[in-house]
Amino acid sequence: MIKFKEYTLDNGLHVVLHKDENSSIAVTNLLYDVGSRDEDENQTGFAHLFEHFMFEGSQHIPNYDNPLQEAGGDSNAFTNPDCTNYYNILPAVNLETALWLESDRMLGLAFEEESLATQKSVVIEEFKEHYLNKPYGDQWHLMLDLAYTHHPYRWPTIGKNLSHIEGMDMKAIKAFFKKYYAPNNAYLSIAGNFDEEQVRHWIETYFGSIPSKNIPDRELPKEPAQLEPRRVKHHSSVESNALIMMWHCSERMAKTYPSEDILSDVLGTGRSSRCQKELVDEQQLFADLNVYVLGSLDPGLLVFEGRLHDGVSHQEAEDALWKTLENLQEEGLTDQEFKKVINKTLTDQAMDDLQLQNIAYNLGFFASQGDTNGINTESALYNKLNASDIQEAARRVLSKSNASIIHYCKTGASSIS
Amino acid sequence: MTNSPTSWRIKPPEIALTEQLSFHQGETIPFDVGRIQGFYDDRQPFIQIDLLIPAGTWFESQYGAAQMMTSLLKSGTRNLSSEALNALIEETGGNISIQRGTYYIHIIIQGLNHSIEILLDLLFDMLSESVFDESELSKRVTILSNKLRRLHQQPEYRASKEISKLLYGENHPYGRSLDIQHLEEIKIQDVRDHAKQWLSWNTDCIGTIAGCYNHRLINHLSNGLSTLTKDRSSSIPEHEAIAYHAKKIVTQRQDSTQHAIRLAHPTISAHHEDAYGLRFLNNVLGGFFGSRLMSNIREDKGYTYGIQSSLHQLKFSNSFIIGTEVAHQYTEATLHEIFHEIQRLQNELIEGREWRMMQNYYNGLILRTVNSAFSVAKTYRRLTSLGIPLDSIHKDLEVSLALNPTKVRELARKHIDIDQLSQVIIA
Repeated sequence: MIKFKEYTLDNGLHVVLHKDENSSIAVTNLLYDVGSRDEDENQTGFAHLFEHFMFEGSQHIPNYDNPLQEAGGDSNAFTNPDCTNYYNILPAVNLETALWLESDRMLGLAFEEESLATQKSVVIEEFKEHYLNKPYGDQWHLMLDLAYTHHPYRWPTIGKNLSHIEGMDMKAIKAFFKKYYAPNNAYLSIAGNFDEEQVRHWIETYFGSIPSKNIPDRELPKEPAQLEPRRVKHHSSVESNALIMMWHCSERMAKTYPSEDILSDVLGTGRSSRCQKELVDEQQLFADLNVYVLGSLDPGLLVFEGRLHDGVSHQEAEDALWKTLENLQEEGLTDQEFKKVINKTLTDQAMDDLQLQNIAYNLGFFASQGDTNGINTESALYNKLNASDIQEAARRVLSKSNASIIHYCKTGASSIS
Repeated sequence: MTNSPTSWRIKPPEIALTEQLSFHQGETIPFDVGRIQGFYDDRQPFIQIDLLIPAGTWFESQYGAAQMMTSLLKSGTRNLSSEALNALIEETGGNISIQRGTYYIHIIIQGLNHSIEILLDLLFDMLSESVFDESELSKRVTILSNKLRRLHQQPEYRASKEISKLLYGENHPYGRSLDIQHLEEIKIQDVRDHAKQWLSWNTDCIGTIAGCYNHRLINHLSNGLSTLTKDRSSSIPEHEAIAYHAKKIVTQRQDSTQHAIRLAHPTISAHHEDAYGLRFLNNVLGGFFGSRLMSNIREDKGYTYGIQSSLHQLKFSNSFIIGTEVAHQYTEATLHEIFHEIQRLQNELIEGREWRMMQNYYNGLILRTVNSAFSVAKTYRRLTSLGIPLDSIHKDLEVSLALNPTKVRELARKHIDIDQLSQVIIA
């Protein structure tokens, strides 16, 4: 049970506090309700580049990281399709420094052209390192472009291509900040050892005077129901063929999401899971495989990805996978299988709660969904499930008409001299 | 805070340094053979047990034997098939993972407190009754070969492999890496022999338990480990690293967009009197986001997404390594800036605010290594594996507070030598 207190400042900033007297550190987590789904399709990768830019100095503080490091702390951030999340970890006695820094960049940025040029270059190198120069690095671009036709989830958070990042200018950066970075579009959560009265005072002092803004209502195009299978064959200089299959599924906060999350575990988590057992160990079609749900806030995907053994054709592997899925749809789960994945989920949740950083993020996440206590009640949703819920999820989600399929074909690695 | 609305926005809040650490040192729990260190924490109904057994590649007679032994430990015992064993482990919701290191194999058991005894029983069965089946070996060899082929496509993997070879020689356990050729040559008897000879609980093993454990669990662990005690008939093998000479390796690939760069040379051991200061120096050069290399090469120049320097402090050898990935057009400039930053540390004193930042950051870093029972347990394992007591953390703090810019410059001159750095640049 994670205890917390929450309140909202007059300017709309939602605050959640979790006190841990045994800790000597504190974590601040600031979640902004803007992600790559809010981008213009001709300016993709913007939310992520902007996240980098947030460390390039604010209205009154020329450098974000130096004062934090001077206080013995570290900071980082991530952007995903749904949100942009910033966190600081530092000795609890220096917590005020993190609040001072976070509040100033919420108030305003330095907006220096030179910093923008540097961060564009850093993000371009990130793009090359993870998406161009790595085997299967282009996988996410292919997957999302195939599975989504209308919703902005159809591009990855890093951006569709390098030219979008290269083309970003200060005018757009300023407009993005003005539109989305405001206390009434953010969730501040703090976990660690602190004096509550003191922290409330600091929060009011540093954040209380930041004006709220008119945040535009989110009106994203809905992804139409997929009515027939989609297929792509892609060639790349990799060493093994791969099979990627995706099915549209529920959004993270939907009632049906826990059953689909568990379904992905039944299929692919652990060596005794259906796909591992049948397709890796018994039939030896795949060298390795993963099955997971994206857990996005708009309807997401259940993804299967596996690397094929040499000599195994894509069709042979795909047929075998369909057979495994059909068996699950027809016969359902054994009690042991069901108990196993539920226990795994509950253990993972207990492990998650050991880290202050996870607690701070999860409090912010659930607060952003309007139910902060979800951090404590979510496990009950999983406990309520039964084996037939999972079978029903398999029937609902894993249909051929709902599938997007990529045959990722090796052309062999290029020669090294 | 003053009354002016902007002065408190400009002026940083007061900060405090940690001058003394207060953390739970854990309790030593003696067993009939060996001992484990316990770190109690009852905030979650969760327990993690870590066992480090000297049975890694250091002890191999045949390349790959340690790797395949760890892979096959979850592939069936005389009592349980691979399928049944994995199903029983996963049914608990917990996990047993086994990682092969150079010196130790590292067994991690994690689970809710009500399932941990079941996991331990399964582990004891794996350690004493594994069948090391030939057909399972063949499956694992195929899977690992595919993985190695994929890794080999990644410049950073090949660069790390090459630099290790240059540091220690390709026949030394620290310098060699598993290749497909080794996997093709390995026989099931090699794996069985390795397990028989080295897989046991003995006084050289290191163990920790963290979380809400109780006496009953400790007795269960003690009894189980006592059945795995064997007299070691073999002495620890000796391996001599090559005489080190700096070299340069460059490869090109047509469709590559980036180079993986690794620079390295041998360095002092963790027991050396300068080791505390050298860790601080490494931190300044490339140990964190605000380090000299990150500030210059990523934040000022934008050449890379990340660059780090690190000290690889191992049981029998130590090295200093710098690593990054950069676009081809930035390779030469990046090398130039790395050398420039080393020379700055050797020739100039770190001044004023930067010095304060480096010292305070390091201070906070030490605090974080002992913030919870689980992090103290991790620190204990790392230090104990190097033969260093846990309370050396206090000395780490003490030395870092006593360091000054002149001493750090002296350490940079003494322990980093640009001419001795091997260079690996892989496309």
